[in-house]
Amino acid sequence: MRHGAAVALLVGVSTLTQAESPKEPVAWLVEINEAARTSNYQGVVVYRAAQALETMRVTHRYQNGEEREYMLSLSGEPREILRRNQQMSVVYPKTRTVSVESQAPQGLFPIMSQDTVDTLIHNYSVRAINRDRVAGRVCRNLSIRPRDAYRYGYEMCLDEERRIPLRTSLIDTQDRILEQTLFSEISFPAQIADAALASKIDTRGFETVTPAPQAQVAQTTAWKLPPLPPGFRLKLRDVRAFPGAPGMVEHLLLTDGLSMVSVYSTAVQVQQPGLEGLSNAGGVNAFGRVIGPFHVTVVGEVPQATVKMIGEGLVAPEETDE
Amino acid sequence: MNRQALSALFDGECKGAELDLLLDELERDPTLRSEWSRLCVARESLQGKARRTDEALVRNVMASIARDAAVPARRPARTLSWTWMRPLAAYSMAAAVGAVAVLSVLSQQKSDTPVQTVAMADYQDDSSEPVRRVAMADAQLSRYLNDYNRTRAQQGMGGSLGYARVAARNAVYHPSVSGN
Repeated sequence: MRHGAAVALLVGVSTLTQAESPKEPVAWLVEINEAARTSNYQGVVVYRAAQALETMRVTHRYQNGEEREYMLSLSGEPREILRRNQQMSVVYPKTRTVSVESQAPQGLFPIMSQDTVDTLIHNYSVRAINRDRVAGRVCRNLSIRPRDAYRYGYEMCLDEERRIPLRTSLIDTQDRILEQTLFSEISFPAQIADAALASKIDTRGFETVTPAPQAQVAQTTAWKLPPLPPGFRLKLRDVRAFPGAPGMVEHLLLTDGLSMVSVYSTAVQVQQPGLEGLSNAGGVNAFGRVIGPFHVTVVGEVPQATVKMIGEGLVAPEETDE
Repeated sequence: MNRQALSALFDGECKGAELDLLLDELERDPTLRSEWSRLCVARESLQGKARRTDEALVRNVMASIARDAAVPARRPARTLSWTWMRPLAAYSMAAAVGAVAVLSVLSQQKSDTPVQTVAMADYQDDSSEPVRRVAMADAQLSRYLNDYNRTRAQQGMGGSLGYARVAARNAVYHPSVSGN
């Protein structure tokens, strides 16, 4: 009976997907990046998590090959974020500081290459589900659901005309929304004046904070990774100093192309013990433990069980040969 | 605090003490945040409504800050989770730059090391595990969360959430730890 129902469900899904052109939703994922980068838009973005609610006014312009963005917080501590291609400045009027970066995050929207999409469909099902309205605009809901319980899913409502995600939700294994960003209003002006992208705060006399020179990358440690959830691979391994923190931190980045888990390890600090056990911030879970002379923290936008499984399975270098 | 005040905040119409009070209330009061959330969602159906300029809002915010600076003890204590996060804000952005730089270089190397994977049968969701409070002075975890969100913002899907966390400085974590 259950088998029959499952087959019927599969047939139903298959029929629905075929009717909507099976490749279309996946192709949308790739289109988002270019659409978001090369569009002019302005609006109000609301970010919601379990115990947080932040609202930001956003103005984004693409003109003559240059991408510029201006964000102004409308709630919480006042701050401005100004981005010009890869250069980002954050203005904190309360502390009278300006933080300047030369390698900024890419912006509000996901960056998906065709290669990434080709990989992730092995571990996630991607399909268009229904039309909806967000910020007064018609959008198409795209469901990205994991094929197992090691990772979370996503839902995005893409503007049907512009392909920009008007709403992005992180969905847990029980189908609950953990975090969400959504536009409460958005418009796509043909022209955006320079003034709309400039700081509105007089920063004369503000302290400018720039990143410290990158510490020389030290030798990485030969951590032995435990068996990982299907599709997860080690993408990078590096060692660096964190400002304000003693010692060097080794970082292992694991990803399945969509979900991401970071493993941070450092020498145990007697005077500042690290996390022991589980913790979380909205959709991000963390698990910490001491392994020999190291303290390890696993952080990921994945279920608690996944960070715990990875953290508990790590084997320190000196233990490897035992 | 009522819905009208929240609406005014959205429109940049809050002024002086009202704005100050509202910003504080939004941080402290979950009910008000819920109301704010509902208001935001309700406004999804609105489009193209004329609004005050950002300059007007910023002027009001700066005026509010100036008053705070003059009377530093006036503000009530904020929720702990936000307070302990703030000292890190100044260098959290800077800290991320190093991460991004290293990430960019190493990503090009495409280590993509194959690893052993677990069978689904091994998996058990123990999200119902009991939790306890953890000491607030855990700046280390905050740094890691910031770094994670920054790195996340550079990586494909979900980047929007990572970026929003960074933009909202929401690397605040719920201080709960499993009992051992």
